[in-house]
Amino acid sequence: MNVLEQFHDWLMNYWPSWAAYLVPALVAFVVLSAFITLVVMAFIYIERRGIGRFQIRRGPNRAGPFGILQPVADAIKVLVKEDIIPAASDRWIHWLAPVIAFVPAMAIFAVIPFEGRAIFADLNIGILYIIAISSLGVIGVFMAGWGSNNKFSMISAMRSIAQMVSYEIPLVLSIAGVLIIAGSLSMTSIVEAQNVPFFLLQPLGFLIFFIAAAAELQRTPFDLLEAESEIVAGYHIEYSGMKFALFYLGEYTHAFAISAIVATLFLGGWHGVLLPGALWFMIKVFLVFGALIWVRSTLPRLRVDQLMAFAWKCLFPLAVINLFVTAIEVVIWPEFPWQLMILNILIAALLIVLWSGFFRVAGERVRFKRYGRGIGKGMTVTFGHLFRPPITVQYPEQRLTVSKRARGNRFIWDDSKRAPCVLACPARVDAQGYVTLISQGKFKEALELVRRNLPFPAVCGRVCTHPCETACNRGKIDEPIAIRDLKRFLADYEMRAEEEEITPAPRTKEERVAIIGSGPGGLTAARDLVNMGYGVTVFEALPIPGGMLAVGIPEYRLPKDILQKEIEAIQKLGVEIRLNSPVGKDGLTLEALYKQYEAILVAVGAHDSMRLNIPGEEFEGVYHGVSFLRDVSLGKEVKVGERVAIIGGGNVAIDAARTALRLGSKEVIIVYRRSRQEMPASEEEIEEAEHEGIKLNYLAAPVKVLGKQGKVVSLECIRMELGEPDDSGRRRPIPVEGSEFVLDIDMLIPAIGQTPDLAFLPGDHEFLITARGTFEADPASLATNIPGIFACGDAVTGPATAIEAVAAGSKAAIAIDIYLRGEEVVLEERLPLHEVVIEDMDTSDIVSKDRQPLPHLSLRERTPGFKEVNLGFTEEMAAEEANRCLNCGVCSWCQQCEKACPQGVIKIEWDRTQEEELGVKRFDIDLTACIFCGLCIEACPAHRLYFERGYETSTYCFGDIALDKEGLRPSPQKQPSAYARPELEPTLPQQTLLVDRTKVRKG
Amino acid sequence: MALKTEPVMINFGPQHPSTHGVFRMRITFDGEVIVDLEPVFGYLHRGIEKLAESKTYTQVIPYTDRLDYLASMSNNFAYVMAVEKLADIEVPERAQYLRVIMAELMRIASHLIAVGAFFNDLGAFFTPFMYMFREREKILDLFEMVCGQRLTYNYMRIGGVSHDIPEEFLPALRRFIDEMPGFIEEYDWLLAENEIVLARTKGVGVLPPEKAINASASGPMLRASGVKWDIRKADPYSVYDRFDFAIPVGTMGDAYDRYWVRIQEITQSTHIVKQAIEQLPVGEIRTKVPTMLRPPKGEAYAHIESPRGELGFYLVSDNSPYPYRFKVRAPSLINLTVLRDLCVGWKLADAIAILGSIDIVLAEVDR
Repeated sequence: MNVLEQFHDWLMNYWPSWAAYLVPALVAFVVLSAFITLVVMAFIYIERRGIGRFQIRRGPNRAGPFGILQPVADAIKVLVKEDIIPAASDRWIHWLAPVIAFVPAMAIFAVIPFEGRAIFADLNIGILYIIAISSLGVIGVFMAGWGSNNKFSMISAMRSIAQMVSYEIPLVLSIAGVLIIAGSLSMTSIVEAQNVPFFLLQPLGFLIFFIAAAAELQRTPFDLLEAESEIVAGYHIEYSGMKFALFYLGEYTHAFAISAIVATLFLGGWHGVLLPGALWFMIKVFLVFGALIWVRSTLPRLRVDQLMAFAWKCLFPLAVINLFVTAIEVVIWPEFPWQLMILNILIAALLIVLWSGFFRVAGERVRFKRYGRGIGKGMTVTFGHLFRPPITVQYPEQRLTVSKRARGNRFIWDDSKRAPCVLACPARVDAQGYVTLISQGKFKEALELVRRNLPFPAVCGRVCTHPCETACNRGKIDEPIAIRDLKRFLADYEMRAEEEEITPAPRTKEERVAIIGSGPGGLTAARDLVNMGYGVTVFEALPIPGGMLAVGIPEYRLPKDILQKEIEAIQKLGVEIRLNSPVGKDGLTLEALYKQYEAILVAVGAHDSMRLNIPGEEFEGVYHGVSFLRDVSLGKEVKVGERVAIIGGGNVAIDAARTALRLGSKEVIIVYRRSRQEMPASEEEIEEAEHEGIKLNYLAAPVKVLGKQGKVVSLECIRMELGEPDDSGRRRPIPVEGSEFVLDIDMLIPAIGQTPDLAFLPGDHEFLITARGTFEADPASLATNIPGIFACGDAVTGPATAIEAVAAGSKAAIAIDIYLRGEEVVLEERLPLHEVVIEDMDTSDIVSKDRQPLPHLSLRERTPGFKEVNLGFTEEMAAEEANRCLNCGVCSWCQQCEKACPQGVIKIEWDRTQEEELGVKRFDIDLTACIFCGLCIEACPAHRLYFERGYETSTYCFGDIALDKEGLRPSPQKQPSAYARPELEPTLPQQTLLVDRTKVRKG
Repeated sequence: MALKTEPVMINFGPQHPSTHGVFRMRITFDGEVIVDLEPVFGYLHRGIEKLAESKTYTQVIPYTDRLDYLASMSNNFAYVMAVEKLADIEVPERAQYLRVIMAELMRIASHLIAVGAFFNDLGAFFTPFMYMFREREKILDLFEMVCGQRLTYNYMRIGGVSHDIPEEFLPALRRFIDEMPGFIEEYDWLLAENEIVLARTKGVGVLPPEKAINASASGPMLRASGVKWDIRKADPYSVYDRFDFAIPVGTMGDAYDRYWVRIQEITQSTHIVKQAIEQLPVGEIRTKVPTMLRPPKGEAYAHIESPRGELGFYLVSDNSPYPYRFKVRAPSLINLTVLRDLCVGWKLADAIAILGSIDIVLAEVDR
């Protein structure tokens, strides 16, 4: 009398008989279905979690506590998934298959006794019903395989039939033993018969049943139907969404059913002490299922022939023998006492050992005389792992940093804090970059970096006024880095090394540009334009190229051959320089050039000396500074006096003075109207001049030149005093009344400034000329008022330095390029460039160290003659000096990373169209294409790039695969390697490759 | 009535769980028996050999990582050796030892993957794979310590290595090497005598020694067939002549022997690492080499015993900063050429097992 029947009988009292029959059945069906679904979900969870534990993983742990809601998440997933029916499938069979596979598994539960009275229908042929029903499922599998019209599915379907046919027989035969002992086909009677669980009385039968049932369930090692590594997913392949879920549910329902049958037939069903019977039953069910999980996580799969051979050659004969043995035992001892247990275990062991001797697999190649010892070993290993701590990370504890690469983000950095030396340079030559490269011995790279903005490293390395050194942050600690001398060292290094061939820049554009004047500005523009692909011709009035560099700077400061070498390099790029071609003479007119060339750049410089405008300036012996230097440079015979006075305080004045000394003057006096503090000449030039014995007469101005017979004999000067600062910020000199004095001289060199020589212009020219006699040009585009004609350098600004001319030249080249492309120079809104100031830096552990002394020619060797005074650094000295660099700019844009990158993902965008924007526009690492080789990190001279620690691991941090480190990984406080850095400061953005803005390499 | 049957052709791959990448086998079956097998590769061809011709010699190194990505260190090693041979560059002692340590750890890691994946191919549900990943993970941690990377290390440089080892490295390595024999024993318990493993692999896919030599097979594939050939002994490179180790060889040349040889090689590699730690000298880790290296005109071939066999790099220089020709002798590709001979006559499941036992990396096969 089960619960259902009691309910039915009670209802009969009130309701008509059909309703009393139907309602309990429906209620029971719903309750049972709900219960089965619940258990199946538990099975799914336990299986996944259990296999995880056998594999020292955690298994699902993200949905709900301990991942307990994982089956729910799975259910939601399959419910919303798209249902796909292959076009070539047999639609009806394909559709019906999951249903047919699922329903029989459910139907088995009709006869499973959960407890003595908790059974849906206690059929007296219960076991027969189960055998009949459970073989139906295979039809569904076959239909799925056939209906999918997929070769893998078809193989799976064929295997399913072979497997079912082979294993159904030992399965039934092994049950037969139980039936004989119990003497009934009813499930409840079988349970009630088990005073001793039948697995003890029927050990061999139990083993065979368990193995065959695993095969029926298509579980490892018999999972040939699914066999992911062989036939992908077998009959499941063409199913998605809910239909796949039905198969899936069917499998687990079946597993539940088989586990229940094992519990019922062999483990004594609901029998047990203390606990309620139903609980005992479920415990047994889960134990059986647990064993299946254990097997699944240990064994590999059998091959199809081995699978069948095992059933037919091993299980089938053993099952038959077992049946006969049991039958004989029942005949002899109808009561079947528990003592038989011992006998049967012995018989089972004996049979297994004997049969292993006979049994061979793999086409007779492997004798199986091992009694399953290896499998047993394997099972112990996996069982042992069950109790080891998992090696994976629990979800909430793990840091889930979504990797930038996974998201496909780009890393763009637009900060513009830069080293003061770079900002101080008019041409933005990357001093920080090349100095740090020198410190690493990368001389070639450093020189290349200098040449990016400056075609005259050798020249500027000698004569530059080095605003960079003035701005240098190191100068605020001890002495500035000898940036200029380092640059010169690079140029000398290249001259010493073997020469490399210079290939002409390819001509890609039709337009041609004429450049008037081959000074630093004109040649820089010429080089840049040739590199852009234009045809460039430079017209030079003098017999040597180089402008002021050639004829304004004396040989002892800048040897001519060095200048010529740098100019030759520009010529080799494809620049044509026409010497002795003064524009405005010999038929070469500006008008003709204007017709012939698409653009003209006027870079004539300022070669006309300014007049003193005092009486007596026309006497013989008055030689203007620029002409004096030019004539000396051109090798003309220049006679100097015994006592020479130089007027002026600029570099030209000093050059003239030192040149006069070298030409044989006995006494050279420089007369300057302000004090030394205001002197525009560079400090070391003044020092050298004093060192060589040149006298400096400060706070004095010439009043008139006194002459005799047309020759200079003396100079009348007046003392000055300094008044209020004027427009230039310097204090204005005011003559002191009555302080006149006379200097006895026989030569006077006024060097008070220059203006452009505009004589080459036609008389009726339409150029706008400023009051200072220079060209009027647009400050942004350098265009004059005549379209197509540009002007740059001293011709626009009045006398300035070589580096300013270079800056103007490259700006002019960009402007001409924009003009020739028919575009307009657009001024963009841009962030101002910031400078790193010493106050921002941690200078506490910088050891004070003065700059390397520069070797000089001894005084005796200097005069007479024009030998170069400055001898330059050696390699060791250069590296030593460069090492003093504080490396203060965050990034110097040296582009070493860009060059090192094999993938070309680092891009430094340049926008050189405007004054301030000679710098970088954008620094961009395309992380979607970055391969994280780290070559950029190695290339960076400033050590600004590095990987964020654990970048690659973070990509592995999803789900279960992130493995615990078992103490192998060093603690995060320590810096494990040059690449991986400890946790970043919280202020820094979560980037992988980033530029360290805070750290400054200590010198 | 006689049933009419006909062979059926099935495409395994290029998308298939067990083809170790995008390899494709066109297999003709008679039932489940393989009648014919046609390997098709090239799905992972990235033109690395051509790409290398436009990279500087240093820039090529990360590309070699991407050939055999399960043995990046070995690939780095062979490549930089070729360049060093080409440009005649001396490598400091310490760097030589570090290279050997890394290469042998790489061999262990690679063999662990090979064996783990092989058992997955046999149908084991990831258990051996996970156990072996546990140990491989420790090796990856060690690598991460030295170079910050876990898969594509880019560790070796022309003339040395990129970083010296941090101080935590050697204790961790010693601990790993001490623990490893225990784990190997565990693998043996789990797998070596398992009846199903024996049934599936013994006598399956036998490669006779003559055929192995004729097919130019190398590595564990060749040694499993009983041929005692290991470049570390046959043509000792780097400092391998200073270590004492054995060359394990198989007897039958079947899938089981290939698995067994790999496990034995793991043991031998631990021996080498142990000796290398003891002998590890102090000193420089890198010779100074110009960034834009221009090796003299000429050619060079350098080969090493990679986990998969003889890995060789052939370089031709025209004295420019870029290799004129860059050719890889990829052991995976050459070992794969015998696949058809090994598979015909066997069953569907065996084809997967045999392919797994060859241990291919498609990135190396296709390049």
